[in-house]
Amino acid sequence: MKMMKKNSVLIFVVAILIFIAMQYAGPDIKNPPVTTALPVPDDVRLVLKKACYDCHSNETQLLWFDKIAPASWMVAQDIADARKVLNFSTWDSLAPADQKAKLFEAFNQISLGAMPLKQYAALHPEAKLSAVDISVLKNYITSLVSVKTSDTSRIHAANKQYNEWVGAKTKIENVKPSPNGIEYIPDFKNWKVISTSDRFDNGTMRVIVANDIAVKAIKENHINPWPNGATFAKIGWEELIDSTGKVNSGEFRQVEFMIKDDKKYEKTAGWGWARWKGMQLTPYGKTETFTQECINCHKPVKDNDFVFTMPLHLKSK
Amino acid sequence: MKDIIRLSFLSLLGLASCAKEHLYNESASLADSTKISGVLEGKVITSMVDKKEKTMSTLYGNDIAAEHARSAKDEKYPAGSELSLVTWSQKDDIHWYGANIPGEIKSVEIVKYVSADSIILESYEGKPLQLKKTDIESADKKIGYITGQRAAVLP
Repeated sequence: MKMMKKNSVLIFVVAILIFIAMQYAGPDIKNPPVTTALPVPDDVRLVLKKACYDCHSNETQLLWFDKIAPASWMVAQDIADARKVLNFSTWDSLAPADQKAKLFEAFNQISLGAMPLKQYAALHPEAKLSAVDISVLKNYITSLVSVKTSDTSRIHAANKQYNEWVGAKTKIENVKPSPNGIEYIPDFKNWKVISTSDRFDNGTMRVIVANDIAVKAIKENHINPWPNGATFAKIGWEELIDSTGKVNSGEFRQVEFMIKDDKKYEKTAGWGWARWKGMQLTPYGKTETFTQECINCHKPVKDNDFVFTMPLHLKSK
Repeated sequence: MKDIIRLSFLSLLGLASCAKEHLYNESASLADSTKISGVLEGKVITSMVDKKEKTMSTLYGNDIAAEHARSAKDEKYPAGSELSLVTWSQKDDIHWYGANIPGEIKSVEIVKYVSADSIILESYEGKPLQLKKTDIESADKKIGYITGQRAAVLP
């Protein structure tokens, strides 16, 4: 009996020592310099600061319990990951179009409840956004949208691309695979349309097409989860807008694929992701980790098997 | 008690149909009973938006029509070609602020090339969609508009 008591005291002391040692090990959360003041109205900056800045800027303000290991190690990792995705402190390193895209993505992450992260918001209730905060952000990003008549240079570019493409005898060959090994699937042109999207946030038009497996799943009401083999292509063109507000498809911009296979693509949310840009069909991404970008953006719709598109309910036999 | 069970069963049913509406874009789809529901299964030729009218359209083609549109600049579609222009009112995409997606179908216009110089236009409008009579002048105009659309570039 005495022996047991001695043992448990020993275990307790060792545990305390390990705990103290942990406080000196592991990653340190540093705040690198802020290179830009975010050029947004004050009310918008206020909302972003309270809801996003702890992780998405170099102005992280940790609370005492964030600094205790081992929790602090996870916090450090979360912050490092978050800064890679979006960092308001290095905002000027992004092109204006990318800045706008980031703001729309951030807003959608917030409005769909994916951000701030639940575990973070639970411990930092001040970061939660109110309905007023959300409308401040929504009004601001809406003010960034401009529907302008396309100038002649855009029309010429579209005409040139069309003229070179239509009836071209030589098809584009030797398209390089995506960095994650996925090969280009030229047959998407013959797949069925499941939706279209008028993206006023970035002035593009999208048509989403699906292969036979996906179409069969749509008809048989088996789309959550989608069956293995189901594949989508989302095709994007620039919008050509005339002075009366009529829009036609302009230059082809890109085609993106999602290929369902819960085993082969287990590590990337059950989907194979790939994107090819421009008429050269240049694969997107430098390394295979580019898929993290895809998954991050699609995370708010994880309950819909990571698919944003609500397909037309195709029915005919 | 029975009532409670029935009520909860009904609300479960309600939830299930809600969930389905969130998975499919039902309002933008053609009902089973519609004879022309096959038009949504053609190949895409191009798509358009009317920012003022807040509508969006997709031009579909059967194999012959799609092949012609993607390989020739002229509007001389071969016999057997069928082009379908489906127009929807737009609605907000609940999954992405920044996108408009098809809402309800406003019209379906089908151009059929019986032979190279015999072209038929079928126009459907209303809710439910009804075949509508079109005078020759506006039919000609519509056929000109539909066949005059150039294919969107698909590498």
